[in-house]
Amino acid sequence: MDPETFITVSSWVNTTLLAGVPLRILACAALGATFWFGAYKQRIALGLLFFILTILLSYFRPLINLIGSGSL
Amino acid sequence: MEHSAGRRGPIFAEGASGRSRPRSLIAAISEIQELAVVEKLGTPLPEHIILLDRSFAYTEVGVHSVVVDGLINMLGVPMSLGVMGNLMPIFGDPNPSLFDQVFALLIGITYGVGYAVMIGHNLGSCYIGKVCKRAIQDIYQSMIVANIVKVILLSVFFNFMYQLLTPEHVQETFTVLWPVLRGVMSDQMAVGVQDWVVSMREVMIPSATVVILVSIGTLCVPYAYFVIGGREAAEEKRRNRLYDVC
Repeated sequence: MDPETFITVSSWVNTTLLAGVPLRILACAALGATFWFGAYKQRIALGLLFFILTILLSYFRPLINLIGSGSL
Repeated sequence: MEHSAGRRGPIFAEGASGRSRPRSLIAAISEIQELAVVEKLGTPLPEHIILLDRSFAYTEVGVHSVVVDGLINMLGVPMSLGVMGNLMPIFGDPNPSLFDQVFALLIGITYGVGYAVMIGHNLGSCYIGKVCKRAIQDIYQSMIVANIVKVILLSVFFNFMYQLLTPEHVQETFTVLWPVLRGVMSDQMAVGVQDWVVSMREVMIPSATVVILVSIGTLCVPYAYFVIGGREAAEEKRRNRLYDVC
């Protein structure tokens, strides 16, 4: 993948999937999967993995803002 | 024939030693549901049908849930309170909506509450007879003990963090780490991170309180299910006896 394509794809993901309603839906799905695997299926490692994913989805953008602008 | 005659020895009921331990919540619930069906049909089971290994396995199921819940509480509750107090953004929004605030709280508490609801919902109707009650109590009592330990450990942790996140300590830590952080952080960013870390100190003590309240709520949910479900199960057993359902 050349750099221009990578930038195009990553910016598309950042502005469509990782923003607004899609981001909230993804975070809800990840939280649901945390419960499904962690509690219901008792696969604790997978449950924790989805929980970390939930945290990242919820608080990822502030992290990016922090790195980009130096403020939360 | 001769071969079998030459291998005489004690006779064991087939499957008695081959029972698998209920390593998951689903397996534990399924086993207790099986026992409850027998009890409801009017056949009293001997109390010692639950052997020690079974008892330990049920206890493990209860403890596992609280260990994971504690880890999630440790991280999720302070962050959710930070979002509610507008100390940190969620989904990139510095002014979170009501949905965002509720979601942030859910991240911190949904696992424990969801687990308690699932146990109560599935086992409430099985709370009948000595055997089923004992099996359910094994899970529930282990949850109570593990929750008490969790609350104590998390309270100590949050208090420790409260003592640690003073401006002086944060400044000292950044000074020590600055040679490493310099490569990945600008001066402005370092100041922003320090401000945020110090501001998060405010949510540490309330986090301990929230964990205590949520743990109490988490333990009350299955208990309510057991009380209501136990009455319904007793009524079902009475009807089965009355109409001779077998």
